[in-house]
Amino acid sequence: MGIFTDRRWGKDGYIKGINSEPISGAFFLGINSDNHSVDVTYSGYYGNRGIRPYVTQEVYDLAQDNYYNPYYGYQNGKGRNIRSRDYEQNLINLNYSLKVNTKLQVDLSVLSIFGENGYTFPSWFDAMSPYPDYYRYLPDFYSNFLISEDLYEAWSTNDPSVTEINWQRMYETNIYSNPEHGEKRSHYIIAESAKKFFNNSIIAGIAFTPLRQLKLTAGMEFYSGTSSNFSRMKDLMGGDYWLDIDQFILYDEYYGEKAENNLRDPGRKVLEGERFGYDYKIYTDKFNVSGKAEYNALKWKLRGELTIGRTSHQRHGNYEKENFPDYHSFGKSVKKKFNEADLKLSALFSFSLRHYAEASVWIAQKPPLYTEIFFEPRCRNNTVDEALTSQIRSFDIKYKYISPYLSMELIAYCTSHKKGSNIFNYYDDPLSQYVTVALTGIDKIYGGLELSAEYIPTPRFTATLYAAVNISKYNSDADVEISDYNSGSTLLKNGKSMLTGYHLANGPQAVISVEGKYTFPRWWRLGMSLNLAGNNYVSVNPVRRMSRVTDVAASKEVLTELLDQEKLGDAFTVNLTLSKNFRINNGNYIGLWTSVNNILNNRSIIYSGYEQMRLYRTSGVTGNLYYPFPSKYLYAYGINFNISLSYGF
Amino acid sequence: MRKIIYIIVVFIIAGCSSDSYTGYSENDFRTGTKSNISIDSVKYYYRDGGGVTTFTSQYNDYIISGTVTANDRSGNFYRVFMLEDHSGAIEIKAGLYDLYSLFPVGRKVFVKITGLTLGQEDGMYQLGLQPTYGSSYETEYISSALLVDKHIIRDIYTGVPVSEETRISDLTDDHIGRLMKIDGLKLDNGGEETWAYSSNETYNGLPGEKDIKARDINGDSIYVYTSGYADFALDKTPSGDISITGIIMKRGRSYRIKFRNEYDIETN
Repeated sequence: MGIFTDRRWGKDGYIKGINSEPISGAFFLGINSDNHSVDVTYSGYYGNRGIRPYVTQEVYDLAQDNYYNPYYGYQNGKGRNIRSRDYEQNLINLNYSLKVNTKLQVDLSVLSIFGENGYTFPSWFDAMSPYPDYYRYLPDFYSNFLISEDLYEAWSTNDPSVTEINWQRMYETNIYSNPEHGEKRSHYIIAESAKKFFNNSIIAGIAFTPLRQLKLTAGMEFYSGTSSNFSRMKDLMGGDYWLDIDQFILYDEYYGEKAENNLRDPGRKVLEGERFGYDYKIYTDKFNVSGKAEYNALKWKLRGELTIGRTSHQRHGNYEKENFPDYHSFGKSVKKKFNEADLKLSALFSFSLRHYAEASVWIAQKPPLYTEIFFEPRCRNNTVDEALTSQIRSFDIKYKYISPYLSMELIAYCTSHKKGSNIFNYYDDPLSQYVTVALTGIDKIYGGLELSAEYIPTPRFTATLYAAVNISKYNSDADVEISDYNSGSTLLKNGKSMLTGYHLANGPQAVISVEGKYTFPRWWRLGMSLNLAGNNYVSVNPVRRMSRVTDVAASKEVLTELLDQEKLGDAFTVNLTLSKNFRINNGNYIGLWTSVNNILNNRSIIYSGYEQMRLYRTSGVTGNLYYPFPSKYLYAYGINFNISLSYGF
Repeated sequence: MRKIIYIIVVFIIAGCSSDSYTGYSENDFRTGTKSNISIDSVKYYYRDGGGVTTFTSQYNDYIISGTVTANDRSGNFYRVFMLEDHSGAIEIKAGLYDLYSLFPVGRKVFVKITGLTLGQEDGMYQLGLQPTYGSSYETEYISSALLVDKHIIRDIYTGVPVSEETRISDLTDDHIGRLMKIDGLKLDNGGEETWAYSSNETYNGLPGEKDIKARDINGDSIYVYTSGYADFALDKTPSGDISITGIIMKRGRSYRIKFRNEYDIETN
C-alpha cells in the first residue's frame, strides 16, 4: 500500500499573474499471491495556473520588460490575470495478473481517466479590446503626435492605465450598459472554454515464453473516450446577463440576422455558471490488436511489434447554431473511421560486453485528431473531405559504449511524417473576413545526430556531455482550403502554401551541454553545467506563404519579410546545483536540493516565437497591398532558483 | 499513520484558496468633480473672434460638465457624443468606437478642456484634438483611450435627459447641438422610402446618408438626417404626422435634426 500527496505554492518572480497552486495525490493498493496479483491505483491532480501570452518585441520594448504580461491588472487592489487554466485529472487503474505457469502470463488492465480542463478567456461585444497590447492602442498606430507622444510617455512611466488590464473600465461598461432600464447586459465577461473528459480503456495481454530467449506477447485494447466541450460563464463582471448570440456575426451583412448560438433556446440570457456559446461532444473509439516478439540471444536482441487497429471520431452537437441549422450543427455528425497500423522492428547486437549497436525501424499509419477533421467543431458537423491518416517512416541507429569510467551513446535518426493536416480560424485581411483554413498534405522531415557521454574519472567526480543537432523541416507544399467561418461556403480551394524547406518550430535544433558534478564528504554534492542552444526558429504562418498574399506584397522588402523565416538568437546558460542529505536520529533523512539556473542572468533569450496571421493593409496604385504584423515571442527566464526539501521515511 | 494523514489533510486544506475578487458598483464612479465654466462660455472663445482655440496651460484649467444626450449606440452618430448643460450643447469628438457603452445617454460627464481644441463645423461646436498638419478639419478625434480618460471624467447616471419642445420657426443657431423635440411634422414621401440609402443604391457600393424634408403645419421645413450606417437606416419612413426628438444640426442655411433611435420618432 502506498499513499502520496503533494501541495505546492508558486508565485512567479518574473511574470505577474503566473501563480500556481497545484494539489496532487496518489493511492496504491496491491495484493499478491504466488500466481495472482491485483493492484489498484488512484491518482489525482488539481490546479490553476495563470497564463502569459506571446508578445511583440515592440510591446516588450515599450514596457521595458521582456517578462511583461498584458493579461494582468489590478481589480480593487488585487492582481488578477484575465486568462488562466484550471485542470482536474483523475486516474484509476485496476490491474490483474495471472501467472498460469512459468511460461504463460495473462494480464488484464482497466484504466479510466476523467476530469475537466478549463481555459478562461474574456469575451466582449460593442466594446474595446481589454488587452493593453492590442495594436490599435500602441503609440506607433497613431499619426497624430499628440496621441503617440502621450502614449510613449505613459508606457515609459509604466502607467497602469496603458500597461495593464483595466478591470474597472470593464465593470463600468457593464454597470452603465443599460442605466435607464435596470437589467444590465454585460459587454465584457470572463468565460471558460471547458472540456470534460471520460476516457476508458480495457487492455488485455498474454505473454508466452516458450524458450528462455524468446518472449511472445499478444494484446488487444478497447478505448472509448468522450469529451464534452462547452463554454461556461465565469464572471458577468457587474452585469446581469450575457445574451447567447454570436457577436462576431452580428454585424455581418449577410448573416447578421442568424446570430443565435442555439436555435432551440433563442434569445437566452446567460447567467454565471451556465453553458453558452457552444456545446458539443466528441466520441472517440479505438480498437487495436498487437503482437510482439522479443528474442534475446547472447549477442543479439531482436524485437518486433505490430499493432493494427481502427479509430473513429464523431461529433454530437447539443446546440443548433442559426447559421448552421439542423443537422449541420445539431445532433450527430458522420462517423469518420480510420485504419491504423504501427510496425516497430529493432535489432541490437553486442560486439562485446562494452560495445553495442542497435538499429530500429518504425513504420506507422496514424489517424488524425478530431481537431484535424472537423472544420469548426464548436459550430458545425462538417468535416474535411481530404481527412487522411498520416504516414510515419522512421529509422534510427545507435552505438553504445559502456565501461567503468566512460559510457557513451551515439544516435543517428531520420523520420518522415507525411500527409499531416491542420485546421484553424483567423481573420483574413485580403478577404476582410473571419475564415476557417484547412491545411492538408503537410509533410515533415526530421533528421539528426545525438551524442551523450558520461565520464567518471574518480568516484567523486562525474562529467557528462550531451550534444544534438537536427534538421526539422516542412517537406511539402500544403494544400489549402479556405471557407467562410459564418456560412461554411468555400472561398478558396486548391490553394498551395509554399512551406517546403521551412524549419519546424520545435525548439533549438542544435544543443550542447557539458556538466560536472562533484560529491564532497558528508553527502554534499555540487554540479555545474554549461549549455548552448541554437538554430531555433519562429513558427511560420502558412497563410503568408501563398501567392494570394505574396503577389500583393507592399514592396520587394516586404516580400522578403513575408517569406523569410526568422532565426532566433543562440542561448548560452550556466546552471548550478547543490544538494545535501541529512540523516536524522530515527534513521530517516531530510534531503535538500537547490539549483540556480541561468546564473549569468541572461534575460534576452527568446524561448519561442510565431508569426501572426494578420496583415496590415495599405492602398497601392493597383489595389490593396499588404505587409505582415510583427512576430510574437516568449522570453526564457533570467536567473532563477529552485529549492526542494524532502523527508524520507 | 493516522497522525500523518491528519497532518496532510490539514496542510492541504489550509493551503486552499479561492480566487474571489471584489467588483465595483455605481458608487465607485461618483467622482466628486466640479465644473468651473458653462458650455456656452467655452464656445465664447470661438465666437468672440478667436476662432479655433487650443486650450493650452495659459488658459484656466476649465472643466465643463453636462449630460450625455446622444451617442453612437444606433450608428447614426459616429465616434462622438453630445454633451449638454443648462447653457448649451457641444459635440465631444472622443473618437473611440462603441462609445455608448461608456457614455450612455443620461450619464453625467466632466471634460477637462486644457489640451483640447475647440472648433466648429456647420455651426456645431466641437471639442477634440488639435488636427495634424494639412487637415481640413478644425478638430480631430481624440481616439486614444488614454487621452479620453485624461480629459473626460465619467460620473454617475442622472436620468433620461428631457428634450425641449420647439417649433421649426423658433430654431436659432444657439440650438445647434441641443436635444430638441418638434411636433406636428410630416415627411416628404413618407412611407415610400427608407431613412437612408442602402449599399445597392449608391455609386460607391457603400451605405449612404440621406436628408429627408419634414414640414410642419405652418409650411416651415427641417431636414431629417440619417446615416447609412444607422441601425434603422433601411426602415421605411412613416407616412402620417410625427414628432421627432433629436440633435439639432445645420448645413448651409438649413437646420437638420438627427434622431438617435426609433423611439425618437413618435407617430401621432
